[in-house]
Amino acid sequence: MAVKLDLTAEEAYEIADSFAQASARVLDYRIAHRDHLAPAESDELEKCEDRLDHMVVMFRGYGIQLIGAKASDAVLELKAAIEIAKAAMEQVEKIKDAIKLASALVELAVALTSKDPKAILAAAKALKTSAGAEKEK
Amino acid sequence: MRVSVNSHKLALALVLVSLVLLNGCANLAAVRTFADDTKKLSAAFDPMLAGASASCTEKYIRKKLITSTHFDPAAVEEAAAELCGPIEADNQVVAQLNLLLEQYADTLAALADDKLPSYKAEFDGLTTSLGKVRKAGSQESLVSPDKLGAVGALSEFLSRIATQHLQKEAIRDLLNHEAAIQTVTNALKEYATLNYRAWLRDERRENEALYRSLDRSNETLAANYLKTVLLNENRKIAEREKTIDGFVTAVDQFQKANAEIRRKFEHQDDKELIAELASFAKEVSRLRQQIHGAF
Repeated sequence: MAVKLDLTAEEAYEIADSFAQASARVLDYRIAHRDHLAPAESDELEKCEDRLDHMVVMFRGYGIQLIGAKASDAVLELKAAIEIAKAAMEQVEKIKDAIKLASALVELAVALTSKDPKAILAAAKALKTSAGAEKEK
Repeated sequence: MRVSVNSHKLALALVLVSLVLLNGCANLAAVRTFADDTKKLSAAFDPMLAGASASCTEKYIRKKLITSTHFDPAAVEEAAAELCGPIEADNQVVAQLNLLLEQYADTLAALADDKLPSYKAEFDGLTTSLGKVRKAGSQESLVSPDKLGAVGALSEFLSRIATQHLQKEAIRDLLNHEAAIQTVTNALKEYATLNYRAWLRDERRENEALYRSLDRSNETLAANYLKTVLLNENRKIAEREKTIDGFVTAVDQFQKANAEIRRKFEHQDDKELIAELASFAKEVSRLRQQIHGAF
């Protein structure tokens, strides 16, 4: 945004609306007098409308930046609060994963005692999956 | 007999647990409802962001189509993109604010999820595994099934209570940022009333001028067709203007509900709170219907 003015958002929108009204008036004039305007004059008026329309976009864009700037502190505060809340949920998930891991360890111990190769392999795989989930957290 | 006494104690403990849990569930159900409506409110704002850019583009193309003496569709499209393209980039600031509102709703919903404090699946798995452990040199279980069941239930209960406490604390902490969420939602209201309404106003004003210009056209069929198009466009604009009013009312109700749920977090059966939440839900529902008809 090239424009750096000391305006409020409301003022930026008022200025943008003034440009929009001016563009509409030029259009009205061009329409009302189209039978009497030379093509070059009509083209020039159209270009004038385009320039005014660009100013409208620019000042409304500036208005958006000002709306955003007013809320910037609140955004930072809320983002931090959401992160803390998410951390609390992750803590719960970690506990659940730890219980699953303990279960998988017991399964492996039981399988090792039984000396059943298939059971040992299955328990080892389950343990690996549980440990992997825990590690990802 | 001893086993029977223990069973009675366990049953009593479970009844008490259930009462505590029921109380907790009722609280969080209100938060879930509030979070769900907040998410819908955020979704209802999105069409306004795209709408501002579309309004600028359509207005420009329509004006050139009806009034330009040298109308070149491709060149006009290109010029419209050049004129209105920056709006999309500028909108990102506000899109982020709306995203934050959505994240606020999602986080509240996740914190209030009644599955979060449930460790049943995990402890069931653990007790099943422990049940398979045999005494050395025997097929007898190391821990008897009734003891395993009791230990599992108690562990689940303690974990659930601890998690519910954590859940409530986290929700309360998030709700305490009331001023911040109010500022963010006020910014969304400002965008809707200052920015989006202005684009619609421009479009309506220009359509009226274009409509008048067609009165003097010699090409009756084209003029009549374009008048019909403009009439329909202005109807759509009127519908979209209503969505702005609807959004402002819904945000006002959101802010009231947010304040009330924070204030009466421990008294979720409070009639005023229930009424605020119902009003918020009603406004969001009305807004969604308006959005559905307008875009």
